Amino acid sequence: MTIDDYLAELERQLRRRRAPRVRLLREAEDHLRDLCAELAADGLADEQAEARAVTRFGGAATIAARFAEATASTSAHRAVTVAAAAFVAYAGVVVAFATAASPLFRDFPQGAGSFLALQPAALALGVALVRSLRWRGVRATPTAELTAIGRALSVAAAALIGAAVAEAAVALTRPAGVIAWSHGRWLTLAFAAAFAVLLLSSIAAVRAAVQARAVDSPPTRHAHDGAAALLADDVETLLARARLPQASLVVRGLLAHQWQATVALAALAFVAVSAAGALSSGRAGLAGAAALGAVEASLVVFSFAAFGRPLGLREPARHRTR
Amino acid sequence: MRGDVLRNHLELLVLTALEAGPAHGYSIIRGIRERSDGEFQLLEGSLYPALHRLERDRLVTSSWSNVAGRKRRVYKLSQKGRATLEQQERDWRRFERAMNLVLEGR
Repeated sequence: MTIDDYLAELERQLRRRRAPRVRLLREAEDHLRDLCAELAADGLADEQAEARAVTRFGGAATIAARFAEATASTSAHRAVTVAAAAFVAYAGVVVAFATAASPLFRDFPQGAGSFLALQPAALALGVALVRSLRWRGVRATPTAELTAIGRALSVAAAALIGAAVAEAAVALTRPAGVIAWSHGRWLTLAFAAAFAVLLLSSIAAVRAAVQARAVDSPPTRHAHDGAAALLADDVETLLARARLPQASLVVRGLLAHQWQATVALAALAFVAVSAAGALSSGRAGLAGAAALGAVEASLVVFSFAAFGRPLGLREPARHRTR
Repeated sequence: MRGDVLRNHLELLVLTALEAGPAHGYSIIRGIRERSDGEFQLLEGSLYPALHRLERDRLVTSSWSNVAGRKRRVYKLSQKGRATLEQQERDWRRFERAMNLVLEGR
């Protein structure tokens, strides 16, 4: 194979794995020409020198895969940081709006979308954070983990963007004088800024997900199979680093009895939200508080059913081991 | 020596090669080969993904420079890279000492 043929193949392999190409191709060409000149100076004919140089450089698919792996790792960890910043920014704005529109939900449905979306987003971001913290600083994050991080970030970004769009739609379609949350100009500006950060975070999340999927080209049909076991390992590693190895038993237990744990969490959420509502609105608002608690409990169960698999919290029955 | 064994230590090898001064990819590979007395025969293309990752981790910096009349990407060890190199060298020495103890006990 000539150097030109090799570079064309390397470019094709990099493109297939959605990795940046220009700089690597330039460096590869420089390297191959230098190596070829050295081999020719040692007495090899030009054709032989080119073929030997290409062999020593490594198969195009192998080099492209290693490069894509490194790029995807960096993109994923960076996307987690951006997503965490976006979550904090948006949650901050929601809290500010809620405080400005006290008492909460006075002009329902403004705020309902954010209230619902922030919870699955927090769960998805938590999953991505655990995986990212476990593998940050390690030479190359495993492809399965990168895919799982990309998917979790996409879920978080979709939830938050959906909520932000819903808030904007509600605010813009309400009659004048009822839009408590958009009274202050600074609140509107803060909302716009948070929305911009959310968009950036979504782009980073999608990019990370696409790169992760492309690393292991062609991607497997069930890329998320085994993700729950990996997550359990990641949590155990982080807990061991924090010198809390006993806590990993609890995590293992929760993952082994996922639905029971979800139902228990939903019951806890119902009690907490109903109690908080009853305390703030008194006896008269008991029914409303209970309804809000039921919504929250349903949201917990719905989130686990809808997002549990893409987030790598639960696996298809055939992959569960007891 | 087997490539997959070397791959796990590529970072330490590259940082060590750059300790002597800024260098481009080809001279880094040559430096490693010469300093190992020809023992370390890396898959040469695998150096570049490693260099780009080290740069993203801010362990090295890079810029285009003219070297012998040609424009090349030259890599330089950063402060953080130097600290990482020292840490990795300490880790390696400890590992080497422990491994020797095990092997000598056969």
